[in-house]
Amino acid sequence: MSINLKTCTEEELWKFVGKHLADNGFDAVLVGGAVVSVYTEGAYESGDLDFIIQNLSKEKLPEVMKNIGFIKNGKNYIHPKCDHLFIEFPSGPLGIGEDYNIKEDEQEFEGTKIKILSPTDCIKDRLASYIYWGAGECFDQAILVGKAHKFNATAVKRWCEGEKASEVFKEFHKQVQK
Amino acid sequence: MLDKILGSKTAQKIFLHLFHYGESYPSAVAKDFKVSLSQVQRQFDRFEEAGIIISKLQGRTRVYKFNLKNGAIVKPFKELVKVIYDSIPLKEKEEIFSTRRRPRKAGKYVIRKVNK
Repeated sequence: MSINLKTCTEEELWKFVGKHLADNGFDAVLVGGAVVSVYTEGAYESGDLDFIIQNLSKEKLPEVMKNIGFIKNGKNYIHPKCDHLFIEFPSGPLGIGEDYNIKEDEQEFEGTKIKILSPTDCIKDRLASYIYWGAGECFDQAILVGKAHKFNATAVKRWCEGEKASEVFKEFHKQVQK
Repeated sequence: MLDKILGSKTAQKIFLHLFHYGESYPSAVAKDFKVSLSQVQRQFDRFEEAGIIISKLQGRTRVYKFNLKNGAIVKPFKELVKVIYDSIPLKEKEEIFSTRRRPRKAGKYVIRKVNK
């Protein structure tokens, strides 16, 4: 795949890096704000891509990333030609609040399956940032995704109840239906 | 016990401090437990990278707290810390956590206990 690293979007970079990781044996799932960028087709720009690597062994990750020009800099991976986006690999496992039975979505890209949080789990993830970190912008991102994509409202409601945040679901649902 | 699991006495102190105050910062842990700041800072960095704690800047201080967004892991871990915390004798807790760090209305008098 060819990619213009100077101008690429979060979605283009996800596909490029996600395919490279999968082709090298890494079970990588895109999470966080970049998922919002993908589901809103760039209406929201996250500025970074967070991948959870589900493999136990990650020793080869720096070398695999280096093969596509991304160098480890602190906890981030940066590319000299891509100064508007960087990549991070937060610690796993994949979980949102108390829910760790996350079934990620798969998309086929140039013959390789790459993984991303589903719209429903993306909404839960953003609401979790709002509930536990007080990040109001993440509540707005959940609404953006809820308006742009079909999602399982019952699952989001049940998750909010489990996190003792039923009021958050009520407000979210009201805003999405506006 | 927690120090053995985590492989570090400083790490145990950090989590007890976080549990007691709800949020904390390296210089406070170093002061209250009389340990070196660099040692404490290293452990904070380690646990933030592991996703157990999160931080944000408040003025010039980086303040940390448990990362409950990662609740499936962190809530049971916090329960473990609570067991250790609850086992500390009250007198010892009062000595370690003698600095008041909860919110206080500006200008309100502070009455200090004087040991005679």
